[in-house]
Amino acid sequence: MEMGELKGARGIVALVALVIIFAGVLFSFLQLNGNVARGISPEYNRLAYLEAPNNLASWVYDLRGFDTFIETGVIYVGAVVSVLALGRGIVKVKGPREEEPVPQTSFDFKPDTVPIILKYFGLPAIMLIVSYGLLIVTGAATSGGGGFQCGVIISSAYLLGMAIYGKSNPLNLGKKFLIGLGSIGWATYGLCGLPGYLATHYWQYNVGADLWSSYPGFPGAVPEILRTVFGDPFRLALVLKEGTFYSSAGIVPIINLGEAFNVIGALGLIFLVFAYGWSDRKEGET
Amino acid sequence: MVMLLPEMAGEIAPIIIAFLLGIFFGTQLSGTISRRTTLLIIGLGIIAAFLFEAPIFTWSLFGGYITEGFSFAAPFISATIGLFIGKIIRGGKN
Repeated sequence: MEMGELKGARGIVALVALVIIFAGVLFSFLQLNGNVARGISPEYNRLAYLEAPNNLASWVYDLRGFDTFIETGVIYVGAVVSVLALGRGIVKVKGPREEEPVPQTSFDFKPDTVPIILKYFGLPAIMLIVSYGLLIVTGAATSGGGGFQCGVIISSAYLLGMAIYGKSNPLNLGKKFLIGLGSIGWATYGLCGLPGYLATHYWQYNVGADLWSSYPGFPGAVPEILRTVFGDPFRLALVLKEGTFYSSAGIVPIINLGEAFNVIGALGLIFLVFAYGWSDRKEGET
Repeated sequence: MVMLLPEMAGEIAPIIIAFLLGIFFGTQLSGTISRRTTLLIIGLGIIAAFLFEAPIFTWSLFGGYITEGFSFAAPFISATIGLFIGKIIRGGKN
């Protein structure tokens, strides 16, 4: 935007908006004076090391699980919008006849010209990368891994297969599969919040780990059955000097599975459509 | 606290989940895999599982813990096996 465009009514609106934002931020800072709490970290430290195997995962999904849920949705919506806006494909395929895709023949995949080492090690690499992605998502509650990382890793395996083998990609994720995977992932993440909402009125409350119900003033109690159903499958022992404590990540692994599905669906769809373009025909139809 | 599942079920659950997800993604694999390639993938998978190690929160052999500083990523192996099984169940040949 040129500065000249800010003259007139548009400039006045921009100026008023800037003044309002500046005033809001300024008064927010002034209100902080003397009211700054020391943060919630001490409370998490006090509670989480006994109640969840990975402090960081517990913090993230307890403090901003709902925010991450919306972010996950943004990724999927972003993928759909990308497909709608740019999904014509860089490779000429049997798509819309009336308007040819962008003619970039130099980008055509030519599996026959792939070096032999890539051709024969491509499939093992793809399978091992997928396995690695699954290792990462299953370690979400106990390590630095998680759903986003898993999604990106498996999508990379898909892209690798696409780059080496073209349309004969051994990891043959179709558009229907990818759309379904993304939708199921987002739905899984969202539905993980329902038990917590019903029990405590907090959406995405981790009923399996149940970090806060023993805290004074916490509104709601998690029934034993919910704690058992969501907590037992992921229970681990923490062997400390003070003794052995049993802890559970609760719904964090399930949430991460949902995230992983969603990211695989979104990124895979982008890769698929950017490479081959979108066609309303069913897969396999000519 | 009521415990329906065995103690430390969290060490076994990731292995089962990785196995099932491996089958799930294995059904999307197409093409034929020769015996030599299968052995190569399993061999590389075992090496990779030792390199990646298991999370520090596992304490038993089930979870991959062998001894201090030496462990293997059991979900990695189970995911790889799951991929092969999924491929056998529904993988395409084209």
